[in-house]
Amino acid sequence: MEASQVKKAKETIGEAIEYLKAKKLISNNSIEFEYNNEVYRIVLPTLEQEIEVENAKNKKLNELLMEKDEKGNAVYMFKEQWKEIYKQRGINLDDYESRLQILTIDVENLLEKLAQTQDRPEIMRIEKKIADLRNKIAEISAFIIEKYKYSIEHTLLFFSQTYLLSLVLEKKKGRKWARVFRSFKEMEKYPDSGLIKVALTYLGYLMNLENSL
Amino acid sequence: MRRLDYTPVIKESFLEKLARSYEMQTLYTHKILPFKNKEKFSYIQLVFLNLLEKYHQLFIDVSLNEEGTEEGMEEDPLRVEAYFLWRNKKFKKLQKEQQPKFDDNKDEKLYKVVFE
Repeated sequence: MEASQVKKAKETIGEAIEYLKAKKLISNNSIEFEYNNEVYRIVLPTLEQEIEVENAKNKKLNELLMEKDEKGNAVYMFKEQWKEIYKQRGINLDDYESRLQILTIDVENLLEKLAQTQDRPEIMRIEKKIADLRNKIAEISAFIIEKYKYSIEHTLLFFSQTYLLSLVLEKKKGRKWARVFRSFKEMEKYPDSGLIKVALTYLGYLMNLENSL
Repeated sequence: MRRLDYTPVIKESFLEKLARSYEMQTLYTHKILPFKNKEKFSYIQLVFLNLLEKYHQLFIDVSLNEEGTEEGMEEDPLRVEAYFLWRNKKFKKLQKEQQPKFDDNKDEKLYKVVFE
């Protein structure tokens, strides 16, 4: 078998696996996965669990607002406050956000152009332009997200996600399913962060975390 | 051998590929959902339902030879995205043009209803 054939065969197998993976992910409103030879699953939260997350989130917000350093300054700040600090340091995040909006409009205009052409070289040219602009958008978005990484909003969102995960992550024991963690505190002490990272990704498939938490 | 389930991230294009597959489109046309659950859909299931509808519509438009469509364009997600953006804008514009126009100076803002 030639190298090119091997490459092609690998690609075909890879595609088939991705196809099956996608099929498995959409098959149910709970997601099963394997990690370190154990079978886990994530289920959609009950109303009771959602209320529990909401209560924990309120409590956490209170904690974040109250936390002060030795000089009595607030440790955590809102996005708007971070924005002001960066502005004083010469980084205007509003400008970056405006650039994002302009680039998004540019992409939309190019998409409209693309829809109305059937000329192959022109299609490729426009698609290349769109890909470049989208790369720029991703770069700027990542820059902005990074700047707000320690904001109260971001900290609270991450807390809600992990808290929710501690409630809905289950492990298969024999023929039954049981919660992996009895509490959020127990999950915080869990030594294998790999499991949490993988499970959080799956949780993101089950729920639109940015909008629902 | 590396266990594949360790890498949960799937490329979105594969979800699109699945949605436009003959298997899924046939099920969708017969109003059969490829889910075990009948309610409480997960986020990815809702995204998938949207994609199923999108490709279902695209295949209809392609078969009707609608403006902006072309055989095989479903293979290019960017062109599909472009087509639907343009199509939606076109419909919105058409809807706006077809809306009855009222003269603000005249009392024409309410439709006349005749009860028999």
